[in-house]
Amino acid sequence: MRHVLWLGIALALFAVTLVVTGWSDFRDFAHQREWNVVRADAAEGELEGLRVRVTEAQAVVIESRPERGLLFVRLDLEASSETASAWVDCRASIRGENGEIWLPLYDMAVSGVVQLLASDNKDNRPCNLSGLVESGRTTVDQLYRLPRAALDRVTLHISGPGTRPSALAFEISPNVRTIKPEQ
Amino acid sequence: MKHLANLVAALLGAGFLGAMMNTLPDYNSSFQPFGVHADENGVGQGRLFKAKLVGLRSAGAISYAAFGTDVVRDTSATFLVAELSIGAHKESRQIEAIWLGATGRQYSQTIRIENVPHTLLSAWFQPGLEDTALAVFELPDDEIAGGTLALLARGDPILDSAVHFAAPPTLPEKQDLLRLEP
Repeated sequence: MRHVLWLGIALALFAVTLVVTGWSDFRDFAHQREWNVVRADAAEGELEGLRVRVTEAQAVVIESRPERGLLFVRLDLEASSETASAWVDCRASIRGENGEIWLPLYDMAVSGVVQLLASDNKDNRPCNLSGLVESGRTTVDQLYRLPRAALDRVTLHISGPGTRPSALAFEISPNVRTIKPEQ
Repeated sequence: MKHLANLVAALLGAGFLGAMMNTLPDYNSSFQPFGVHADENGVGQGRLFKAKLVGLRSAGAISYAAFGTDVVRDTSATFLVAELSIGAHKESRQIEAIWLGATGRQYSQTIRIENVPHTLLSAWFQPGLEDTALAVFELPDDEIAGGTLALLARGDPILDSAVHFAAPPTLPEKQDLLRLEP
């Protein structure tokens, strides 16, 4: 009986050690993933104090590369500076029907393409919350490169390190245009 | 007799503990990415990406256009350029390339070739799309023959896979000047 008691104590201590050492790893993991998705009913939604509105979603396919397309998404963000601080940062990713995750492009050519696709020919740079700290409102522009087959129906996820694993999701059906390379 | 048995058990325990302490791998070797070898067609399937080694070229100097200006970089060693075709599986990714030299040294890509489109230093790979990219190394001549190329996802490679390509059967002929086109 005494041996069983010691064995039980050892097992309980082992379980406590697992929980204590694993908790910080689990928190790190949760800050990378989005499994608590809040779906917005329309083009506007709110998550943890940050109001997000999808104002533009345009896609283009270059005629010479019909298997791939570029998706431009413009967002208006509205929140207090305290909310922006709580979010820490902003990640706007596109999700496919099979769980694919497309992240925004950041290379040198992005700004020119965004200016071509935006209704006002301006590039407001990818999602960041610095504008919210100054004025409480900001506009951000994202450009994604993804297969043409995925363009018709995608989901936009907005989250920050301060909100994850929670994320705000919008169903997007962009207007797809096909253009010739020389245009 | 009982004391002798306890002493033997304690000595055995101490011996086992000492053996475990001396054979315990360090953190880096425990968590470095595990190797996945490309097949005979040069296609490797990593956990996060798929890659194909299309070809290798070598040169004593490289030229390219950056912001409308022609740039030439030469070297006292050899530039080795690996042409790759890469696609991400589930999430947009950047890929890192390492040349495992014949002597066992590991070489990162040269950062002297800046602002060239389609190099792995700046390229992102998207799910569902395959894109071509270049990995440019600056290597001593004796590190190329018998060396191999390894690709891994940039960032935190713990418990991830690294795709290893077999050493080429014939080495690429060294050109005096290689032009990299966008």
